[in-house]
Amino acid sequence: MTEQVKVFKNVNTVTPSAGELAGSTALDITIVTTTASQRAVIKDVEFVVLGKGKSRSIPTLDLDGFSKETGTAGSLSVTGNLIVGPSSTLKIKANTTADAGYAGGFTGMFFAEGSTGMQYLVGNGVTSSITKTQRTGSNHACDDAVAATVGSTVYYYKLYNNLITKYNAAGNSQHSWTYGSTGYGMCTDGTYIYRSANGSTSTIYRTKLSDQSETTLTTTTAYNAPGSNTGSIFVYHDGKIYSRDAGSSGYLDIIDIATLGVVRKSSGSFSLGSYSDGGCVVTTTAGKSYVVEQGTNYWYYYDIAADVVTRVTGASNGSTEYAQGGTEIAAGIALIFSELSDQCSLINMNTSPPTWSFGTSTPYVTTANFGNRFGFAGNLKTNTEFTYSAFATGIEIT
Amino acid sequence: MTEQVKVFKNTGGTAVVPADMNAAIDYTLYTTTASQRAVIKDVTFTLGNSGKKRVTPLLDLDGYTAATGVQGSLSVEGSLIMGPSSTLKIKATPVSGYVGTENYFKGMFFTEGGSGMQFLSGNGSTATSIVPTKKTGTGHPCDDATGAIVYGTLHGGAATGTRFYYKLYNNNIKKYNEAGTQVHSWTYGSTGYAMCNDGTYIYRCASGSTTTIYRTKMSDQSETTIYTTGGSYNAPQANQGAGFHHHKGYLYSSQEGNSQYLDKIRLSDMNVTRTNSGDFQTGSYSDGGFTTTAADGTNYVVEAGDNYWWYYNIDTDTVIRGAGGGTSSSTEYAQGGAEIAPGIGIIFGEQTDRATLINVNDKSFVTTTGSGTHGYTTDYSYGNRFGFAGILGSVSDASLKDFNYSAFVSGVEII
Repeated sequence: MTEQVKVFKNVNTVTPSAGELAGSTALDITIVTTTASQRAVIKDVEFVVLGKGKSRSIPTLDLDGFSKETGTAGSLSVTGNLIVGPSSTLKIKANTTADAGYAGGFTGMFFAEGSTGMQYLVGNGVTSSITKTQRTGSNHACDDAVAATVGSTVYYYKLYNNLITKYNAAGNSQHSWTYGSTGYGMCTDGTYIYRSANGSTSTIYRTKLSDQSETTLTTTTAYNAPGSNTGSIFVYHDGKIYSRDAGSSGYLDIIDIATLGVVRKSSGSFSLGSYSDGGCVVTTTAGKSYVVEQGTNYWYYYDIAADVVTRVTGASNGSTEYAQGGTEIAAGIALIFSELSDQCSLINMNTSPPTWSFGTSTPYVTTANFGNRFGFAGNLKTNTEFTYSAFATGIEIT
Repeated sequence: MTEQVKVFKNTGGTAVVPADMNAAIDYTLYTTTASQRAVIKDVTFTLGNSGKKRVTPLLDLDGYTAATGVQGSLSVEGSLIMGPSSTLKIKATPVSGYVGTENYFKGMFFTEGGSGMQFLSGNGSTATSIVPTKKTGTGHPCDDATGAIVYGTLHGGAATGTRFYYKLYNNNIKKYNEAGTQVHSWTYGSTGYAMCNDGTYIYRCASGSTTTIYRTKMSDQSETTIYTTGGSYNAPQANQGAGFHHHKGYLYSSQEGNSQYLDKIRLSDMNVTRTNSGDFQTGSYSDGGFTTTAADGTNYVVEAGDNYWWYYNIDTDTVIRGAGGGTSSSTEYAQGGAEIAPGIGIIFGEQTDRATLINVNDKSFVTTTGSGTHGYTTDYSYGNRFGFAGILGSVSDASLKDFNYSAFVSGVEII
C-alpha cells in the first residue's frame, strides 16, 4: 500500500454555466474521484463563492450521495479526516436559488399627497421607459418611500408622520407601524428598513422586514439626517447609508452599518441651493456606483469608489421640498420627482459626461399633481452573478 | 494484522424512511465479526424533513451510549474502538408532538362586506408574518368557517391531502379551495350557526339548547346526525358570535357572550359535561374564539367579547378572565376567531373591522380598533357576518411530523 499527500483540486474564479447562473441547474462540482484500487483521506476542502450572487448558493459536501457537511451562504470549509473508499466521488453540490436580477426589470410605487395619488411604475430596468398605472387617488402624503423583496414578493413602504405603511403591488395596504420618534428619511438593505431620526442625531430606527422586530441603532458619532421640509437623502448602498440633511449643506455623512461609524465628506459641491428634491444611489452598466441628488440650483454625483463629488449646473428651481422623490429606475439612471410644477429630473450616469434633463413628469405618472409631500419607492433588480473557487487536499492510498 | 481505512456505512442519496414515524429507532451502523476490530473515526447521522427535530439520536455500542446528538442530527469524530463481535447502532425515540420551525398557517376569512374573501398565510409562529391576499370581493356572508386538510380526490383534492376552507351561512356549507374557488355546496340538518372539524368530519351544531349535531365526512360527504348523551348542550345562536370548536377529541360549545358556562362534548361517547363560572361571561356579545395548544403543551379554549376575554385551561378545568378588558364590539353575528400559531389566535370583530390578537403563551391581549390598521386583511369592510377558517400545520398536517435519516460511518478496519 502506498500513501501520498496530494492536492486533489485547485480551481479559481470559475464561471458557472448559464443554467447554474440562472438557478435552473444545480451546482455539481466533482472534487475527488477514486478508482476501484484507490482510497483517500481528505484533509481539507475549501469552497468559496464570489460575486453579488454569492449568497444564492449554500454548498454541501457530498460523498457518494451522502451530504457530509453543509456550508454557509457562499462558502464551505472542512478540515479533518474524511475517508473516501474505492470507486467513490466527492462533490460540492448546491441548489442555487433563482437569480432575481438576471432578467432585469424595475417596479416602483410613487406616493403623492395630491391627486397623482399612488402610481405603480414598471420599467425594463435598462432604459427610462416606464409603464404607469394609478392605483388610487389623492391622500398618500409621504416623507420618503422604499421598496423591498420579502420572501419572493416586492412590497412598497411609505413613511409619513413617523408611520410606515406597507403596500403590495396592487396598492393594498398590508401593514402599518410606528417605531421611534420624529424622522423624515428611510432606506433598506433588503433585510431591514432603516429610518433616520431628525437633523443632527446618532439614532437610527431599524425594523426587520421579515418579522417586524424593531431595534434602535446608535452611531458612534452624530450624523445629519433629512429634516422637515428639506428633501435631501437617506439612502443605502453596499453596507453603508448615505445621509444629508438639506440642499444647502456642504457635506455628506456616510454610516457604516457594520460598525455604525460615521464619516463626513465635506465639499461645497454638495451644496445644491435652498432645497433638495432628493436623490438615490445608482450603479451604471459598467459597475460604477454614484450618489446623485437634485437641488434647487444644481445637482451632483458622488463617485463612491473614487470618493469624489462633482457638482453640475442643472436647476429644478424647486421652491420648497417636503419630500424625497428619487430612485434608480434602470442601471445608472435616476428619476427624481420635484414639487415645483410636478416635474422631474432624469439623470443618466452611463454616459460620459452624464446626461441630465428636467421637465414634465407625464412620461412617468398618469396625472401630474403631486401636492407637497411625496416619495418614490423603487425596486430595481440587479445582476446577481457569481464565480467559485475550490481547493481540496489529502492523502491518496493505492 | 492488517489495517485499512474504510467507509463502513454510507446510505448515500437514499434516505431511510421509517414505516412508523412514532416507533423507536434501532438502526445498525456496523457489526464486527469474531475476528474483526475497528477504530471508528467518523459517524454522521442526519435527519431530514419537517419532523426531524422530533429525534435526538444516541450512538450505542453494545448497549453503551457512546454519544448523544442534538435534535435532528448526530456527528462524532475521534477514535471509537470496537472489539470483536460488536454492534454500533443509532437509537432514538421520536417525541410524540411536532417539534421544529417549519410550521405554517393558512386561512380563509369570509366576509359579507367589500373585503370579500381573503386568504391569509403566515409562518405559524407570529401574527406579524401574516400576509393577506384578496381572492374576491363582496358577498361572502358567513356564520362560521372551518379549514381542514382533506385526503382523497373528491372536489379536486389529492390523495396526499389538500387544504379546503368551509363557509357556513343559512345552514348551507360551501367548500372552497386555496385559490378561492367554490368546489361544492350542501345543506344538511336544520338551523344552526357554528361548525368545526376534527380532520375527518365537519360537526355542525344545532341552535341553542339541543342534543343534535349534524356531521359530514369530508372525504366522501356522507352525512350522519349524532346526539349527545347525558344531557343537552347549548350551541351558538343567531347574532351571538360565541364558539363551537374541536380540540383533541372534544367539542367545546358556548352559546353567547353573557353565558356563564362552557359545554364539553366527548366525541368517543358523546357525553356532555358543563363547567360553570361567571368568568365565561364576555359581556353582551362575543366576537368568537379558538382552541389552541400553547408552546408549553397546555391546552386552552379562548373567547373574547365586548367587555372581557377568557382562557379556559382544558387540562385543569379552570377558566380565567384575562387582563386587558374586551373588544368593545357592538354586535356580533359571526364567529371570527382562529388559531394562527401555537398559543396564538386572531379574532376578527365587526365594529370598525377590528381584530383582536390573543397570545395565551404570555396571556397578552391586544385589540386593534382603528379601521385599516391591523394589516391582517388587505382592506377593511367586513359587514356584519363573517367567519375565519384556519389551518395550523402543526395541528392539522401530519406530514409535518415525518422524518427520514441518513448515515455515514468511516474508520480503520483491523483484521
